[in-house]
Amino acid sequence: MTLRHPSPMLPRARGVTDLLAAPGVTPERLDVGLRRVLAARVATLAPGRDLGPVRLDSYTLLQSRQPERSAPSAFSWSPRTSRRLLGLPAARRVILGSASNPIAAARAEVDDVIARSSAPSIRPGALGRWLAEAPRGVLGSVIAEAANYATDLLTALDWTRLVDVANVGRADPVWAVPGAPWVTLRARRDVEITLDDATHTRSLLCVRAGRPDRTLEDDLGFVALADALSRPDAPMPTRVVGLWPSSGRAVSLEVGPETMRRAARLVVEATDSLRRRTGLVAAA
Amino acid sequence: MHTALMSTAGTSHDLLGALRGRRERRPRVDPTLAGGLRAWIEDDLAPLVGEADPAQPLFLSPRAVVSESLQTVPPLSALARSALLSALLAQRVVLGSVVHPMDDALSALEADPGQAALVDAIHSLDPDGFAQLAAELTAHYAVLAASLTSIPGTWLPRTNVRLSVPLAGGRVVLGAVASLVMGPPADEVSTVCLLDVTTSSLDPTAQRRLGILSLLETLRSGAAPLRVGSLSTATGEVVLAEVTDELLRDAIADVVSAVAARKATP
Repeated sequence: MTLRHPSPMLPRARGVTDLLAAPGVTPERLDVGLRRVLAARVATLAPGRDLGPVRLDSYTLLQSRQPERSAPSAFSWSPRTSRRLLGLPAARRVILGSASNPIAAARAEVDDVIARSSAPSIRPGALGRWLAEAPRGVLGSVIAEAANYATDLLTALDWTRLVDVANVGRADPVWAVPGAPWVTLRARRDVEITLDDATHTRSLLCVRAGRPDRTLEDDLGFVALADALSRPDAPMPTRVVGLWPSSGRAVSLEVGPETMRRAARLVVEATDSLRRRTGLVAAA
Repeated sequence: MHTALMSTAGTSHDLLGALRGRRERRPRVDPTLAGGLRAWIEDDLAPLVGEADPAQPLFLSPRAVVSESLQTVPPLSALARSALLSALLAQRVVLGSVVHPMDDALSALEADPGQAALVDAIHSLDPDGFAQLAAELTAHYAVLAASLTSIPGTWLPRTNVRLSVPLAGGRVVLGAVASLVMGPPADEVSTVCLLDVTTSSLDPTAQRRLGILSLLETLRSGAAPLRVGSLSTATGEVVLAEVTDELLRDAIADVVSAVAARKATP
């Protein structure tokens, strides 16, 4: 697998933008055989439908390879868990010019999410319902985290070069497994850059917390696979760039057939691991 | 510009103004500096940690780097004050004001699962202890509010920013939480300012800690920050430092010494 890094001699945003926007090689589609075999293997190994939906993303994929320490705690909203959901649309507001800065954008986004939360279609436990009932101190932390996320994204790239070709915060691509549609693969990516409109080539940017480690190829490779699976009419993404604002690092994984085969193997292993773990929990 | 400026700012207006300085006087970015500093620190660390396991890195914060002895855990009251004030700083920057310091800060902590143990400890305080903590927090916040007037959103202020730079193949991780970061990323001139807000009084190591913070930001962003500062909400003291070559060189020496000291201490 090929990893590329931004030029250390350029201002960081220019270097990462060069990396992301570099023209791709000849577009290539995901191997139909790989798609079929992966679907069959995952459908065979998947935990039963009665155990609930199974959502595989980079996080669950990597967690499935860790030794099991304790039962995972139930999800709850917090400034940390809401930062991406609010920070991405806040960044989009600034890019599109509907907000002048990340803090104003994050505040506007929170206001909008709260306003929409009263609609009957919004289920209990949704982000909007939580925000609507949150005290002022919590809202302050939520807006601060979302503004930090948006600022990280806005300052990481040279947007003057990308504004016409970038899609920020579009819903994550999801692929439901044929034969086991309760199992879904989700590509957690933050920005999609169109490299060539005619051939539908694209590169993806993933913002990640902390610092990169040895799992970065697995994380970015999984994003490439899930994105390719969800877009059967388009070629595989040309590259997936990981960005770790806390450590200032950026790495590009150039996507090829080997990337996809490796990611598919990891998905099968993760599905198997999840089945065994959920089976143990159900038996207990 | 080789001498670090150390001064005490008197008023709130002075603090933000002194941190940002005058636009036309900002130094040009040296594009080779960060790479040179990284090469230097990597060369010095390699013989010290070459055999260490990258899966168990040595974590160093600015305070840990400059401490003579191994760190002790601060008392609960200090931990609580610091965490609560961090929440109020974020709230002040994004909402502009704080109405009920203890209620607002505690509710923010309660929403953070990572602070569950601290929240439990605060709720376990007897009524006198709780009232004491609330009064202290209000006093600290009054200093913070007087020192940090409204910050325009166009300065891109972000609060409680985590910085984490792996060194020596991940065997050493230099990390910090910068209370306040302002300014867009540097392009041709330095633009980023960092402020450390502490509920302790400023001791003689304050400027060295600012040097470590500057080094972290330089390695992380590829450009040296413009200026760094530390504000004590206990006393209202402020220390500001220009980010000079000398400050960064001293910071590298401090990090290498800290790693060597920990290697010598089983």
